[in-house]
Amino acid sequence: MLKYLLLAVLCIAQTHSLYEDQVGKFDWKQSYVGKLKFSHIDSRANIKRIYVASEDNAVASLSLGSGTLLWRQVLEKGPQGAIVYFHYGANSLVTVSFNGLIRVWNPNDGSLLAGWTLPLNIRHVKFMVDGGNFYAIEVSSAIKTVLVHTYKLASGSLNDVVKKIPATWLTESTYCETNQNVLACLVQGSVKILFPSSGGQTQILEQSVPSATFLTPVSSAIGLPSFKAGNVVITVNNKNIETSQIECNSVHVDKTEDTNKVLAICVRPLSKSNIEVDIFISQQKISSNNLQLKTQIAQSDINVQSCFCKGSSPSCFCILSSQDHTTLFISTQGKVVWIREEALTSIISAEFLDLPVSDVDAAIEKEFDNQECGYFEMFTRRLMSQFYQIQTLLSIESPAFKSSALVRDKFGLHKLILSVTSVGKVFAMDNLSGKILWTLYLANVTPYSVTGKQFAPVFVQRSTRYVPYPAQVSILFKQSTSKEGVLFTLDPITGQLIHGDQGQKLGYQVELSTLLPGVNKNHLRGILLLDSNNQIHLEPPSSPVPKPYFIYKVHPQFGVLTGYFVQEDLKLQKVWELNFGQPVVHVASKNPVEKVHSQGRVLYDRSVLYKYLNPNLIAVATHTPDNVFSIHLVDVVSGNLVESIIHKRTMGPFHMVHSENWLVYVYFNEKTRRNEVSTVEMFEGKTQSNSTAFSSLSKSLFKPILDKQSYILPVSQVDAIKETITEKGITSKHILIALGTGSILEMPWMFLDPRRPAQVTPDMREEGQVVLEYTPELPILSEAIINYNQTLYGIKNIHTAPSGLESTCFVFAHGLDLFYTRVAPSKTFDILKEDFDYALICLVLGALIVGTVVSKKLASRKTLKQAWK
Amino acid sequence: MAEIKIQISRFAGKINMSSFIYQIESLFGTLLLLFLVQTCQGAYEIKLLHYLDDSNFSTTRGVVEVHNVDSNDVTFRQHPLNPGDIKQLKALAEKDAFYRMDIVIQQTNKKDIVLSTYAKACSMVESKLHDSFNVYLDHNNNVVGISLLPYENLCSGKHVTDADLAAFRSKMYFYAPENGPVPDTLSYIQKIEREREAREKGGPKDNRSFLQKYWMYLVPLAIFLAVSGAANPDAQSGGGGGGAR
Amino acid sequence: MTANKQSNAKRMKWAVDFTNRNRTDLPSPPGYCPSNNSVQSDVTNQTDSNLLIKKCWEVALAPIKQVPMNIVIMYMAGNSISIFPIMMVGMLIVRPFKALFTLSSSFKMIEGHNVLGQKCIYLIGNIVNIILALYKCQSMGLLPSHSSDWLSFVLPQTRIEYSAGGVLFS
Repeated sequence: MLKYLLLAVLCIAQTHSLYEDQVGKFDWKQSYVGKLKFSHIDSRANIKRIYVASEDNAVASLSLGSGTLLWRQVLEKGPQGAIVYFHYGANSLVTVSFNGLIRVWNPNDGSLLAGWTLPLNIRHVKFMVDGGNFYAIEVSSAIKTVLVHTYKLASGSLNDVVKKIPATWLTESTYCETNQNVLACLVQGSVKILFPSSGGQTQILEQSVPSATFLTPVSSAIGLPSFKAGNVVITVNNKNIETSQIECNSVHVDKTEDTNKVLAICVRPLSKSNIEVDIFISQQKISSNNLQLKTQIAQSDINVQSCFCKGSSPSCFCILSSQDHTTLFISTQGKVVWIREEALTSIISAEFLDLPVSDVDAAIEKEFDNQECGYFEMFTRRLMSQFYQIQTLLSIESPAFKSSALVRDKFGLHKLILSVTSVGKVFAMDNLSGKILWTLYLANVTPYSVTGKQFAPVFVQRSTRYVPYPAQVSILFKQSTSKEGVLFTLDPITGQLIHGDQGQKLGYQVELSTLLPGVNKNHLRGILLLDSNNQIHLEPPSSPVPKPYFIYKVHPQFGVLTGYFVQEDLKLQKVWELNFGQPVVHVASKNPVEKVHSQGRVLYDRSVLYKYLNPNLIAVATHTPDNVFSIHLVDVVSGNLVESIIHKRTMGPFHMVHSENWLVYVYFNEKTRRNEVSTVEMFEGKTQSNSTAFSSLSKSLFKPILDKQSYILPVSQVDAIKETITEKGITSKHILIALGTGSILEMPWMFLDPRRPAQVTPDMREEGQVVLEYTPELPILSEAIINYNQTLYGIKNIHTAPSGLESTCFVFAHGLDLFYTRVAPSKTFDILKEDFDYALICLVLGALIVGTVVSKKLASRKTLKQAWK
Repeated sequence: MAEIKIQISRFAGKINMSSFIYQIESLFGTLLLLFLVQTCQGAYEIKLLHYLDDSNFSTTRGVVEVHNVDSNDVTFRQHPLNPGDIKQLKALAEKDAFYRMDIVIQQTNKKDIVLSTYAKACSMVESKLHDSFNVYLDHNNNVVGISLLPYENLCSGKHVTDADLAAFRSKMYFYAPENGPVPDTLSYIQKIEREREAREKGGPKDNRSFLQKYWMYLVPLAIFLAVSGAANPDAQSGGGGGGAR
Repeated sequence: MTANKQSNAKRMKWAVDFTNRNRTDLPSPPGYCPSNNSVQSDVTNQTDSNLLIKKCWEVALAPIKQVPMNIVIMYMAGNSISIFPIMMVGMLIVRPFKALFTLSSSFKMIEGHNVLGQKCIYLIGNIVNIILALYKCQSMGLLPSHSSDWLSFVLPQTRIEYSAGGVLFS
C-alpha cells in the first residue's frame, strides 16, 4: 500500500496537466466526418440541419448555416463498418452497416434509438424504409423473383410473410437500385420500376433506355425518386415516369413550387477553383452561375449529395462532394455558403515548417550578407537598416497585426503545418490557430504504399532561414496512370508550385527516395531517387553526395535486405544481403535531425555507462504466420545483425519507435491476451570504444550490451506511438501513445526504462535521480493524457516536431480528428512561468532601492550629529 | 567388438559361414554410420565465393561443412590464393575498395539461400587473411545472415608480403536470437505477498535498551560536559585563588 | 561682575597646579632606586631573542595544531550538500591559502634571523590543512574524480559513413 502511495506521489510530481484556464490556449482540435457518402438536408425553419453518413463510417449532423459539426457517431472501423444504406424520415435516421447491423438514431442528438441485426446476407440485398417499416429487397435472378422482407423498423421483428414479386425478366446482369420507395432495375436496355412497399398487386413500370449501361440513383426531392441511366434521368412522379436528357454527370431532381415542373440541377467543375451550376426545366437551361472557390478542388466529377429548393425562381442550396473529399454547400445563385475540407481525414504525411523572419530581422541579416564590401559600405548599410527599424517601430499601430502575420516569433513557436493527404490535396495550416492558410490540389496522383500504409514522401529541401532564397519543399507522388514518379516542388509559405501544375514527371518508377545530408551553395538539400533499374537520380542533379554513402533496400514480402555502396559514378555496388525469409512488418530508423545531448548514462555509483549511438542502425520487425515476432537490429553499413529478439505467440497491430539508443515496441501477446510494451536499450559499456568518431565498418567486432524489459500496457488497443523530440536533445523523451479509447497518453521514459531495478536500495536513491522500482504494469494516469477531455476518434498517426524552445515539443495527431498541442516533457525549464509577477518584483526592487538610499542618507546624518555631541 | 567377432568366428567355424560374418559386420557398419549421421543432423554445407575485382564475377573461395551449430563445430576447406589472386586483392586494397563475398547455403529439404557480406580489402590484407564469420540464425535455425570480420579492422597501412597472403585462416561463430523479455509478474506478486505478511507481523520491533539506541548522542554530550567542567573548575579555582589573596 | 570674580577666586583657591612644581623637591618613594633603569634593557634584549624564537615556533606550529580541530569540524559538518558544510569547507580551504600567501608578512617580526626551518614547517602545516579540506570535498562528492563528472564535456561522435534507404515503394 505504501509502495503504491509512494509511486502515486512520484507520479504526481512528474506528470503534466493543464489548468482549466489553459484549455484551448496551446491546443486545438478539429473534427471531421470524412468523404460524404449519403446526406439529407432538413431545411425546416426550426431545425436547419444536414444529416450525413461518410465513407469513414461516421454518421453526423451538420448545421445548415455554418457547416459545423453538431454530433457525430463513429461506427466500426474498416470495411465491416461501412455504411451501405442511409435514410432520414419521420424523426429517425436509419443506417445499415456492412456487418448487418441496422441502427436507428435520434436526429437531434445522435443517440441510438434502436439497433438490430439483419439475418440476411447484405451483399445481394437492397434496402428501403417506408412509413415505420424496413424493407430488405432481395433480387434473386435464380428464381426470377423479387423477394421483399418486411421488418418493423423499431424492433426488427419480421412483419409479414415474404412478399414475392414475380420478375421473369431478371437475369444475371440485372442491376437494381432503390431510391426512396422505388426499386429500379436496369435490364437490357430498359429500366423497370417497382414499388415493393405498396400493398396489393405491385405495379411495374417500364422505360426503355437504349444506350444505358449503368443505373445510379440520383439525389432527388421527396416524392420524386429519380435514377440516371446513361444520359437519361428517369423521374417517378406520382407513379408516372418522366424522362429528361441531361448530359451532366451530377444531377439533382426537384420540383418548382408553383408550376410543379421538374427541374434538374447540374454541377460541373470548370477549373481548380471554379464550378458551374446550371438549372434545367424541361431540358431548357433556366439559370447558370459560376462559383469562385477560395480553395482548390479536384476537376473530376463533383457529386451532388442532396439539395433543397425554395422560392419561385428556384433558388436551391446543394451539398456537393468532390473527388478530393471536399464538401461544399452552395447556393445556385452563385454563392458558396461553406466548405468543409474533409480531405483532412486522410492525411498521410505532415511536416512542421519554420516561418520566415520578419522584415526587420531580414534587414539585419542582410547587413552581414556580403562580406566583401568595405567598411564604409557596411556602415551605410547599418545606418539604413536602423533607419528602417525606427520606421517600422513607429508605424506599427496595433499589436494584433503582429501576431497574425506569418512571421517567426521570439521562441520559434509559430510554425506552419504542411499536410499531404492521400487524395492529392496539400494543406498548410497555422499551428497556433489551426486555420488553413492555403490548399493545393495535385491532379492524377496516388500515394505510394509502404508495408501496407499509404505514404507520400515530403522533403524539406530548404527552410526559411537562408533569407534571399525562399523555402522549398518537394512532395513525391506516383502518377495514377503510368505508376511513374512525379515530383512537386513548392514554396510552403505561399503555396506556389515551382514547376507548374503537373509537377516534374520523372519518367521512371521510384523504388526509394531520401533527402541528402549535404547542402549545395544555395543551401538546398538534394533528393536522391532510386529507380527500379538500380539507377540513382539526383534532384537537382548537382547535389553533393557524401562519401562514403550506403543505401539499403528492404523487400517486404520476402524479408530480404540488401545493402549497396554508392560508387564515384553514382552506380550501386551490392555489398551485403540478409534474408529473413519472413514478411517484414515494420522498419524503424532514427530521425535524422535528432541530436543526443549526453553520451552516456550516469549510474548511482558515479560511473558512466556509455550509450551505443549508431546512426546507421535500423530495427526490422518481421512476423511469421505462426505468430512469432522477431526484431532484428541491423547496421545498414556493414550488414551486421547486432541482435535478434523473438517474441513467440504475438500478434499485431504492431508499433515501433526507434530513437537515440533505445527501441520501444508495442505488440499483443496472444498467450496472456494483453498488450505489452517492450523496451531495448543499447550501451557500449563503461568505456567508450572510440570517443571521436563512429565508424560502422571498423566497429564490426563490437557487440553492444542490450538491456531489455517488458511491461504490460493495460489498454485494449494502441493506434499509434511516437516519441517527443527537441532541438538539442537535452529534455527527456516521452513516448506518446494513442489509445483506442480516444486519448493520447504521454508515458515518461522513466516508466519504460529497461534499467528499472527490481529492488531499490538506499544508495541508489542518493543520487537525486528518480529511480522507480520495477512493476510489471504501466500506470495509465489521467493527468498524463494530453488531450484532457477532447476525445479523438480514429487516430492514424502522431507527428512530433521540435520548437524553438528546448523544453517544448509540438504534437500533431491526425485521423478522423485533428489535434495539436504542445508538450513539455521536463516541464518548461527554459521560460518564466506564465503568471510571473513582473509588476510586483519591480515594485519591491524600486522600494528597496529607495529605502537604501534614504536610510543611507539618514544614517550619515545621524552619525554626523553624534560626532558633534 | 573383437570378442563378439571371435565368438562369431568360433560359431562360424562350427557352421562355416564366413559370408554370414561379413553380413553382420556390414550391418554393424551401417548402424554405426546411421548413428553418426543422427548426431550431425542438419549438417549442411556453406559455399564461399569471393569477388577479387569490381566486376560481377565471383570465384570460389572454399566450402564450409557445418557439423554442429551449438558448439561452432565447422570444417573449412578453402583454396589458397594463387599469385594472380593475391595481386588482385592487393590492387583492391590500394584502391580502398571492398572485398565482397557471396555465401550459398545448401540445407537439406530447403531452398538454397544466397547471402552476401563484405569487408574492406585493406583490412583483409593487413589481417593476413585471418578472419571470422558470424552466422546469424533465426528461431527455426535457418541462416538469416552472415558477416565477415577480418581480424584487423583498422587499416594502418602495414606492408604485407605475398607469402603471408597465401592461405586463409577462418573461424565461424553462430548466433541464435534471444528470447524477448516477458513482464515479470510472478516475482512482483511474490514481493507484494512478502511485504503484506511482514506488515501483518507488526514490523521489526526495536527492543534495544535506551542506552543502546541513543549512545551516539549521549557520548559527545558527556565529553562536552567533561571538557566544560574541567575548564570551569580551573577557572573557578583560578578565580577563587585570585579572589582569596 | 563681582560674583564672577568671587567664584574665580574660590576656584583658584582650591585649584592645585602640579605642573609648575620642581621635580627635585619631592623625595622618592621607598624602594625606588633611580639607577635601576639602565640594567633592565640588557635583560630584555637577551630574553627578547629567546622569546622571538619561541614566538616563531609558535607561529610555525599553529597550523599543525589546528589539524585536530579541523578534523572535528569536518566530522561535525556532515557529507550532505547544504549551506553549513559548504561554509565550513570554504573556510577550511580559504584559511590555509590565505596563510600561505601571507607567509612572509606573518614572519615579518623576525628580520635578520634565519627562520627557514620554521617557514618550512608552516608551509607543510598549511598544506596538510589543504589536503584535509580536499579530502572533505572528495567525501562530499565535489571533486571531479569520476568519469561521470566529465560526461558533459564528451562531444558526440562524428559520423563517418552515411546511409539511407528503406522499404521499397509499391
